[in-house]
Amino acid sequence: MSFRLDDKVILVTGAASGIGAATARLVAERGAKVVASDRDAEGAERIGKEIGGLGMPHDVTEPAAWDDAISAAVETYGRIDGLSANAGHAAFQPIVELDMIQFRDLVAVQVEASFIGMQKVVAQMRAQAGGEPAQGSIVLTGSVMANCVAEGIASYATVKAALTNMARAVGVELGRKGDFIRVNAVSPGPVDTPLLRGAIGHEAMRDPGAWKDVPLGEPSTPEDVAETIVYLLSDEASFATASQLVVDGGWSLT
Amino acid sequence: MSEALAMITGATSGIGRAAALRLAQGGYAILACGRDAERGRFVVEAVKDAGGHAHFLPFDVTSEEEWSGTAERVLADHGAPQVLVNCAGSFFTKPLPDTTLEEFRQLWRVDVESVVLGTKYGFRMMAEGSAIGSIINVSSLAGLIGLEDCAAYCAAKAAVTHFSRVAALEGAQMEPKVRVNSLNPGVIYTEMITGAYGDGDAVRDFVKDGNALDRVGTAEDIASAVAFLAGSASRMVTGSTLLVDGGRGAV
Repeated sequence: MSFRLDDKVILVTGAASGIGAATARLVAERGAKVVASDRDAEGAERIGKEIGGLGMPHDVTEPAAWDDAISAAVETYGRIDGLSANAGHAAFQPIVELDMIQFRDLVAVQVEASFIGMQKVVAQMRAQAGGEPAQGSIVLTGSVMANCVAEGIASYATVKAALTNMARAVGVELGRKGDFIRVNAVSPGPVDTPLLRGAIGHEAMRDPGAWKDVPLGEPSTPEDVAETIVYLLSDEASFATASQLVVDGGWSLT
Repeated sequence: MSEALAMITGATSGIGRAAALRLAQGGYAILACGRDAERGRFVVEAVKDAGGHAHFLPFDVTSEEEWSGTAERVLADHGAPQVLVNCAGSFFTKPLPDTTLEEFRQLWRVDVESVVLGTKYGFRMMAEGSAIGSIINVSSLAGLIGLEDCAAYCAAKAAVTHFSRVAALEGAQMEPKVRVNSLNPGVIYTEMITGAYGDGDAVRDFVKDGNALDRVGTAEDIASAVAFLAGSASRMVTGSTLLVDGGRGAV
């Protein structure tokens, strides 16, 4: 029972690896035209080619890079219907020991980049609507740590909480302005991605004993998160906005 | 292999009926549960007209005896369901000083006890199956925020949402595993709303104007969320609270 995105034009950031790569592939498989962007220009190029879409170098902290990605979507496919924002990283020092530069970098990549990206994407969605209410769907990849915390990752939890509430706030704001541009956050728990593998190591990733605190007994796959993003991007979710969907195998329940 | 089975309570109207049609479209055989035989036949016909398979199971979802008997009959006649949607519910609006304890208890029976019983017998049925199960408890935005003159309903729906979190922990321990999620619709234009407030433009405006999105939420919107929570697209989603409310709760 899969959700379709036929002929929609979707920009997927952070598309060279992890959740972004899985999302770029799944969104394409479900019928969308995809602009796959990443700071890793080669990785973006590779995934773009693989899915028959467009690969774009994209530093999400640079407003001009957003202009380039959106222009590419419009020039190649005529418009933009959706954004899946996945670019992100983590810092693992205790927050009181984290230096200011690193903290600002987290804020820049996750919070500021989403702020810039939403402004640019919404402007394009409104411009292409020709005076009618604008249509579109934006899905920000947050984290279940927006709602809880784990030791050593408090700075990540802080920026993801900001991101998630920004999705709610922008969702309400756009709806109240008469647009049908929806904004939602997906909040994954532990996912088998390079980001988590880098933090806990390959061995731990494969050890079932490491996942005792996930009720379903395993980490999610990037594809699990991508399925959720596809639902939220699809017209079947056209009444879902300013919401948050947790995909964590029950990890945050206890 | 026979097609997967989805059992839906409150399937004769509103969100339950839309969920039956949406899941049938997704390839599930449907067990539509309700009390009204005529409306039950209507749902079964609608599923069949759309090319699906459906049976009507009349029973009272507030009775443990009837749940127990129905679960036995389902296992004997159809095998274990993979999906159970606990959608039966009731609603009334009344200021608290005017609400009688009996009115409160009656709502609690229909909105909470039916979900507790459904989850309990859903677990028992799914334990006899071989596939991972999914139980979807239809709660409400009212379980997350307060609505004036709806204290009984808000309390009941909050109970459903939190009950579902704990049931998710227990379901994860089962073999095969059962996922349990709370689906929280906003104000949806269904018979439940028109039954309490009446129909007409003023009611439609009330339903629409509280949303961030400038449109009325429909039973089909919620049926799509049921479809997401039912199948493998939500394989790692359990104990979650899926709010589909047109942004109403965040306004």
